[in-house]
Amino acid sequence: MLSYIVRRLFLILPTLFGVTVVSFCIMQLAPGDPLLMQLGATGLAGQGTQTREAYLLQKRDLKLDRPLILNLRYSLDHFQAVRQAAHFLMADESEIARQLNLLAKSPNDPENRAALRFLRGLGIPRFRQRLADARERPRLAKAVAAYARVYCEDVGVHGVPPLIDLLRRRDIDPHEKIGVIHALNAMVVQPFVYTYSYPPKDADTAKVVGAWRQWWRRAEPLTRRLSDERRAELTAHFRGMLELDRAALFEELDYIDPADTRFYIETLLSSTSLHERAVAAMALRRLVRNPLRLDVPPDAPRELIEEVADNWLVHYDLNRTLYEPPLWQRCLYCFTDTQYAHMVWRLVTFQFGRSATKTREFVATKIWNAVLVSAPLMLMAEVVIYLIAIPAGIAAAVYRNTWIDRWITFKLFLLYSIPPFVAGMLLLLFFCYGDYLKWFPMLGLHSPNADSYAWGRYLLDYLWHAFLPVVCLSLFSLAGLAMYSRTAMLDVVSQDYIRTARAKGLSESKVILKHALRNALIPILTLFSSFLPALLGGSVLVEYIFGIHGMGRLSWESIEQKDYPTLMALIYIDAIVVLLSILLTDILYTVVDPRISFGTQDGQA
Amino acid sequence: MSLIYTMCRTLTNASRAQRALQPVPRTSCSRRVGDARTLTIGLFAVLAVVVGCSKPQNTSGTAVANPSTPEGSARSRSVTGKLTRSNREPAPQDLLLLAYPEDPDTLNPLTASDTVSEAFQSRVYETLAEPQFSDPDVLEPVLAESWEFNPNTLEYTIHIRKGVMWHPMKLPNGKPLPARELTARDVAFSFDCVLNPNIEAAHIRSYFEDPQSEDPNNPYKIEYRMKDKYTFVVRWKKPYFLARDFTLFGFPIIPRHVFSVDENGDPISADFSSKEFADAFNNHWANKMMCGTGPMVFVEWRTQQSLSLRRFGNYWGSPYYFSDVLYQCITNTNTMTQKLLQNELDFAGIPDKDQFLQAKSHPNVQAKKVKLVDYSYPGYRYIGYNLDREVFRDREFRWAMAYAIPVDAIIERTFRGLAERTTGPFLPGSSSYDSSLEPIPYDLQKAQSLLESAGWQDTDNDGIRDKSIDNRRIAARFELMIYADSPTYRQVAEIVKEECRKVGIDVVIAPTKWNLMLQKLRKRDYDAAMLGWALSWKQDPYQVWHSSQADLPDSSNHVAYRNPEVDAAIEKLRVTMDEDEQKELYHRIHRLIYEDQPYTFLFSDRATGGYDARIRNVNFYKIRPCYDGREWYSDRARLTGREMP
Repeated sequence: MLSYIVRRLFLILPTLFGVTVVSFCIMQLAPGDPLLMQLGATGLAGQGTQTREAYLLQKRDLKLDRPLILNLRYSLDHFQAVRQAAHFLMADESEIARQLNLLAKSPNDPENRAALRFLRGLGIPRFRQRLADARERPRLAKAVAAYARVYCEDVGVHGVPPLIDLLRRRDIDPHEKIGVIHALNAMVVQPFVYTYSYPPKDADTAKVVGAWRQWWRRAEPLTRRLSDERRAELTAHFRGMLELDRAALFEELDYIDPADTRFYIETLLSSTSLHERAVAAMALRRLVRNPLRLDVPPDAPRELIEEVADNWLVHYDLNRTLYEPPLWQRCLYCFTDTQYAHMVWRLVTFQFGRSATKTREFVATKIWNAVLVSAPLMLMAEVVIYLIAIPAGIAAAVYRNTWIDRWITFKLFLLYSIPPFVAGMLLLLFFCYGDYLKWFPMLGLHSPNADSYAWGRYLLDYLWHAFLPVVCLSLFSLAGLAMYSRTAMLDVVSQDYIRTARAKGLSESKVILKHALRNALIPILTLFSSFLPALLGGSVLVEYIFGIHGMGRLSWESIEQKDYPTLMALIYIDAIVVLLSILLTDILYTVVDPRISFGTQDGQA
Repeated sequence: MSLIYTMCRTLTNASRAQRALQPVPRTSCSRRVGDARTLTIGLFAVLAVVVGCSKPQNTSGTAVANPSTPEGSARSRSVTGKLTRSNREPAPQDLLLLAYPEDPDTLNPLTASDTVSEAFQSRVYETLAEPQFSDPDVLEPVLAESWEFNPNTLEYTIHIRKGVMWHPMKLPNGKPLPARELTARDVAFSFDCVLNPNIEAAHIRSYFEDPQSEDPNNPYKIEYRMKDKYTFVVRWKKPYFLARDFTLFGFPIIPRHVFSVDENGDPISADFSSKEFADAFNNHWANKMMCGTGPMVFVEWRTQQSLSLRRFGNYWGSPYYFSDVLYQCITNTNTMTQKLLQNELDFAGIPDKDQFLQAKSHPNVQAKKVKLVDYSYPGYRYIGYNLDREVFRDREFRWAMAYAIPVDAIIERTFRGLAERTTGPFLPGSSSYDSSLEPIPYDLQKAQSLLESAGWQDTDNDGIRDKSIDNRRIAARFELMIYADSPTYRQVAEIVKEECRKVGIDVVIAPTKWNLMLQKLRKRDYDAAMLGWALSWKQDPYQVWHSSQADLPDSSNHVAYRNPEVDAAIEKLRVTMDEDEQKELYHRIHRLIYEDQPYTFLFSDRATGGYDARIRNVNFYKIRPCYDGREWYSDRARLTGREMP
């Protein structure tokens, strides 16, 4: 028995794995971009680059920019494509148009062929036709610039190393560097950190201090020197600041003087205490609004280009581990830094994370709240089903082929054939809307001010609200269970021991209730395990009609909003519950019927 | 059968896809007053709707003092000491019951972009100024006492109203935050948040962005600073015709003492422009609450059940008439209508036109216990043609389409007359709309002759016209993309298809799911699409009509409209500060677009709904949300939202 259970438990693992694979595939195949939905009102009306930026940030946060199952991006060579992208980002539109003319004229030139391959890969609508049409080229040029930027955003950090190589080269035209810098800006989000995160960690020191040191190299000659007295004053004041709690410190930071910048940067660069450095970095951030320049206008002078290029090189050095992971890490990333791996990891650890909708609620909280609503409702519905269906089934079996049997069967199938949502609408129409009767509330599970009720009234209020939804939920399932119990009962009634019971003169009721019913219940009991999934599943339509926010509604909404984290968690939990309840059914069989055993031959002996 | 039909519609109607941007032609939308948030695709979300008690309450109950009696007025005066906007004493106790169709994602006024949360926020948050409902060209000072504009430096100097208190607020651990007065620091903080590139406020931020900025490290059109505790200065680097609107009511002001601290009351970050701060802000604990300066205080949001507000005793302006507002979440639109008809809601939209007409015969409407209303709603619906497609290249073809579509019949048949024709992309009735342009009549003869003259002939006798373009025979056939979940769109599309067939154009109807539709529009991977735009009083036509947007991968100019004359007019309009010149340019743009017919402008449908007859002084205006709850009052108080008999 035990070994059977263990074996079954082990079988659950590959099944779950299969479930994740299948649902992952379906989600990928579903048309439409999940993030477009969430951008909502601004997705289309949104204006220019910023919406695109929000979209990208969200995408990166949810790790949807990763490859699906195999991440080879760390090993691929992006050099050619990225160089082309940088090239097209550098030029202005008339320049691109001129180049398009060249491309159209001699497409087989090796240099041009590379450029064309890149351009075709961008997905510009009707690229070939438009390239062929000379009148279209100026417009096409604009599209090329925009799409090249999108390309850079999609490549993200993987495109950075080859661009940095380009920046390092001495032979490269400064004009070309502008394109490289534009491309880098499209690829990297927030290249520098200027303050410690809270609470400060020593690991941040290199990046924070590195950024400020780079700034200081240029700002030093321009910054006012401090007299010794002022320095002494500031040192004393700074000591005082170190003692403050965070709120007071922030308040204090509003009143520091930009003339004293030199003091704070020197403190930051020379201090060995983490706390001092953290405070100094915050002070600097307050004083210097825009420390390092990272982008250049199209007509930038040479010095500016050099300055910005230098900043990017420092950025690269500070983040070298991110851009050049060691070989073993690259191999690992092949399989772990993928959308699928991130998803499976969340599921395996049961850390479902936050939902993808804007509330960013924890998925676990969301699901738990919905279960608390659905489960009691479904429990009541199941109880109602059993209380009605089993007696009905047994009655039909006992009075087999009489009008009672036919009447019950007919009624049950009539109910069976009404879809629950139609039943719901009819119930609302007849019992709530007041056109006919107005006995029940139309909405929700509680009155608006139910919280103030005593518990007895609260319970009554709940039952009153839950009545119609429960009716609606049970109607459909009555027939199935009733027919099942009817068959079970018929089986039992034709057994020899029933004949024996009758033969020894027991009353009919005793025969049915004591001898037949108990045995007929055995197969029905095992159906109990189908409870669990139903409790968790809720009902989409009924919950919708009666304005109840349970599991059904949650699933429906997650699908509608393409909230994949929530949806995956729901599927996963459902799968686990279904698998466990199947196991439970098997175990129940052996419990109620000793003739069945999963043991080995030895066990039986 | 019709029941099931209604049911299916109800289901789809509630799907969140439609919430802020449903392209479904029936609902209305409640955006912030004079909301400058420019174009929003699609029009609706259900009106702020209302929930209530199953029996109309006896209002002369003991708990309510009649406001007209001396004790009553004395009591209410002691509450606020002022008259409401409708020149009434605020009611000592009166509950306004409203409803909403679906929970918003967040209540944070900077990151929320859906209509439901905006309806909540409109009573809690305030902007520096707001346009008057009756005349949106006039601005009323709200949180700003006054402001000056210096046309030489393009500087707005804003004087913040003194003595405005923030609503009391508690940390999640129950510790109350100290009471604070609104100062210029809060205003600066709000601007900091909006301009932080990692905060999810791109829809507001884009007003302030300058793609042509000379300094790419600071791509914003504005600079701002605090001058002193109550003075705030915003400088525009370039002239922009909507500068005043975006400065003064582009977004509500949020409290710095709340949004800059974490759930323990510790400041999040010293740097409001950092990603660290933005991440915390996007997931801030107060995003599920509201803390503003408005007439109502946030009390509680029970997700998926209700949201309640209470009158703010310390409000600086005229107090709200109602002492409490309760919004109830009602997803089933039939239920919402029923609640309205049974006086269990004080105000609700009835988006479905058939349901609306049916409701007119309801006993409570006949007995004048519930008043039904329809009012024009700022927005329009159109069929947009992807001008990159060969089929739509001829202007004559597009004019022929306009002649072939029987808009008046569509209004009669699918909207039961509850819609008005439009001829262009601006708000009818506003100064930007050129009302001298005539709607294009239904005239198949004219359509046919136009097609003939443009060379569209049926050469292969298959009933579909064709024409040789670039040495290829192009058939007059295209796919009309419509929103899959809306039967109304379907009906309209069927009519279009039928009529076009008569002039030899084959329309294939392609119902498409909303997000797929968005994706196709972004990629311009479609032929024609039936959609809607919401409108604000003054519209910046740049995003939708300027040719520079026609080649960008995701822009609102999804029909790829390019007209150098329109470009020039738009560019000029954007730097023109004179109202009369603006009007002239608007009319010019309107006329040019009308002549080009890149869209077939269909109509703007009227919003339909109703309200409890106890609510008085309900007026409707041209700007969203089309009514002003602050001027309402009631002649019978509602005490509770009780449902138990």
